[in-house]
Amino acid sequence: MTKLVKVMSNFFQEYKATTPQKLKIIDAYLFYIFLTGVIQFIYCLFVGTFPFNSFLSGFISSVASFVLGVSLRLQVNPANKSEFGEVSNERAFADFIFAHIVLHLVVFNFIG
Amino acid sequence: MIRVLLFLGLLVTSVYTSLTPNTFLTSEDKARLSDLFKLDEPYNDIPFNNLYYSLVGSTVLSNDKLFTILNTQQTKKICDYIQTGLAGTSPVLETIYFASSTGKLLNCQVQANAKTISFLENKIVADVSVSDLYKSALSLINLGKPVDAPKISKLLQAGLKKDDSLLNAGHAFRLAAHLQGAGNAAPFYEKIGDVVMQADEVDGRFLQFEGGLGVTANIILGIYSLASSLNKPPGLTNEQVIKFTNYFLNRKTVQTVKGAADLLEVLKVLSQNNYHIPVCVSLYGSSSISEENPLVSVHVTNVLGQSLGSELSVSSESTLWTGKKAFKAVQGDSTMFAFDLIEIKPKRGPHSLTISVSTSKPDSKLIGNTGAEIKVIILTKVTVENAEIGIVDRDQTTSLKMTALQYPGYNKNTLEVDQQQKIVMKFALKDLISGEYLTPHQVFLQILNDENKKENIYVAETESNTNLYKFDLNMAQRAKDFGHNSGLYHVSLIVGDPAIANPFVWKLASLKISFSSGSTQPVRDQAPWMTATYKSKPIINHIFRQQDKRPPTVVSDAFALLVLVPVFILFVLWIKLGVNLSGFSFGLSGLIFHLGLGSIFALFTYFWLELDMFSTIKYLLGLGLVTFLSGHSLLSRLANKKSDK
Repeated sequence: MTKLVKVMSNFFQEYKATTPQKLKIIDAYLFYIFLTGVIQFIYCLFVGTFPFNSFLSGFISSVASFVLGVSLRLQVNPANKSEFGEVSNERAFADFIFAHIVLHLVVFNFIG
Repeated sequence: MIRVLLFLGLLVTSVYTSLTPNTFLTSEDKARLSDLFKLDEPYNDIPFNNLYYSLVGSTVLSNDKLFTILNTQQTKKICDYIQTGLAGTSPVLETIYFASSTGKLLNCQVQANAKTISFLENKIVADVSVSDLYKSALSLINLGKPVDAPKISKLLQAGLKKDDSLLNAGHAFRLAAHLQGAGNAAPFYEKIGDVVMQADEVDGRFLQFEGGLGVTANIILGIYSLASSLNKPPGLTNEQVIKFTNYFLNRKTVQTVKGAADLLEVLKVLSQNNYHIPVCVSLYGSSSISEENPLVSVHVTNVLGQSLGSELSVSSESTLWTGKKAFKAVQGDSTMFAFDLIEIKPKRGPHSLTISVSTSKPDSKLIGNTGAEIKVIILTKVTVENAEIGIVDRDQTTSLKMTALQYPGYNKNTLEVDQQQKIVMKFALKDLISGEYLTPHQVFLQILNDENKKENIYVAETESNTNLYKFDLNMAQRAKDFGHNSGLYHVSLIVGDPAIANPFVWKLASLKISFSSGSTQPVRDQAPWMTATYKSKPIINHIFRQQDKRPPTVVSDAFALLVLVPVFILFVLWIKLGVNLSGFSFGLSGLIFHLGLGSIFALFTYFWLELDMFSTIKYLLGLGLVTFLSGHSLLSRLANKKSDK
């Protein structure tokens, strides 16, 4: 147990020390999205799915936002420069915004 | 091949079917047909062909006494109408033909104008069709104009060579009959055999030409008029004539004026000619012969239902007797002959009588006068004899004690029977006329519950090798039939047969049945399918969808707030990470970009609340364009700034 705690704290220290500021911001955003999704899921489990389409659109919005966030993080991460070299951070952000607009058009259509 | 088949068919059918017509034109048929021929004023509205056919039919029905149908004034009106048809400025062959034929029929003194005559004469030229030649030549003859008989004969032969259809053959025969000079008509007389060969035989009983009643009547009429104009026999065998006659009589229900006129015209020829007069023998009244109705009556007539003369003798042969038995003429009706069949005490059941008709001096004109078959059923009366009923133990330890029954009486003592016993009934059915025992088609015992009217029916059978009936009902085995329902029952004997004049249901005794074991079954409906089919179906009520259960508002509100909590966490984390807005450019494009994004999401909210998809997309395109342009300039500026560093 103590080992586990140690590993975890080591991991966290490492993260704090080496991760760029930009990625930390995105990670915070992802964490926020994740929490929102979890809360909706808990509501669904304990209270019920009615109205189902509203639940689905909310949950899909969370999952998709999370995926888009992860995509943004991948493209912005300097460690992945070799893979996304020609994609600038700004371009990645613009794609992220565009994807969100399309996603939420669908989500709002479905929310009922 | 077809001829072989026809021959075989003839062989087979001639064995058991008589050819003699078994029907004739009855007074009901005549009344129906004369309705068809009724002419209503004003005559000017009637097409000429209908007028002609109606008058032809009426002539036959009135025995050539048209004046009984039309008075002088009416005749004059029709003649005036015909005159208009013949003196028209633009002649039509069809109209002229029917008008002139009608004029001849009514003896109108009509005159055709010169234009009509020359129109008709101009039709009689080379390459004319048989139908046109027939109509124009006959029109000229009807109008009393001379015709060139040798020329017409040649044209007619040429026309037949070109198109030898059956309709044309009939027209040719009928026109040739009007041609003067034996040499002009003779070539057509020789063709009769070839044409008759083309007739189709149906069922071995009918002969007809392809094309139906009109074509067949046309040809037969042509053959007879041609033969009579040449004073020669028509060249048809007796059997052929009878088969054609059967066909015509079979078509007596015809509905069109033309068909009815054709039919009557040909039937008239078949009742008045020098060679063949078919005899029609038909049964009059019921075919069931019993003591109450002992007479077999037959009509012996020609095809039009008229008498064949007063010196007829009618006799019949049958398997019921040997030799011939004569029918007696019925007083006051020269077509009716009757014979008392019961007098000779015939055996019950269906029989056929073979009727022969002859005249005092032999008349070769009468055809089909032998071998006519009529079918009768001889009915008998039946009674019940030696009837007795009894109850016996199943194991037969007690001896049979039977109660005698007297038909048609009712046994007043109620019989008692329980599940360990059997009902036994014996009886014999006797023919009252011949005195012998008989076994009708239907002999049943019915046991009817007095209370709920449920009936059980059992077939009664004869004991082997006898004509005595023995009925045996084992209550232990049959308890299920009765549904274990104890109570009072009635026993009836049901007897029926087509040869029995007095079928009966004899209620003979009452029966008290007690079932000791087995559960009593409720009486089911006598016909459960009936209630299932005809009972009203349950009413279908529309049920609206039930509202889903909603959680209490407190819970949902709490979760709504809870979902907002991560936003705070996000801000807290960002502040901890040291997020700042130092990179924010307050340029125009930056401002517009953020404003655009904000308004897009505001638009989405509005879409959620009110708008539809189409108007949303319309606005979104505008906003998206502005946001894209500003975003593009903003982000590229940021990118440039970064790369400048």
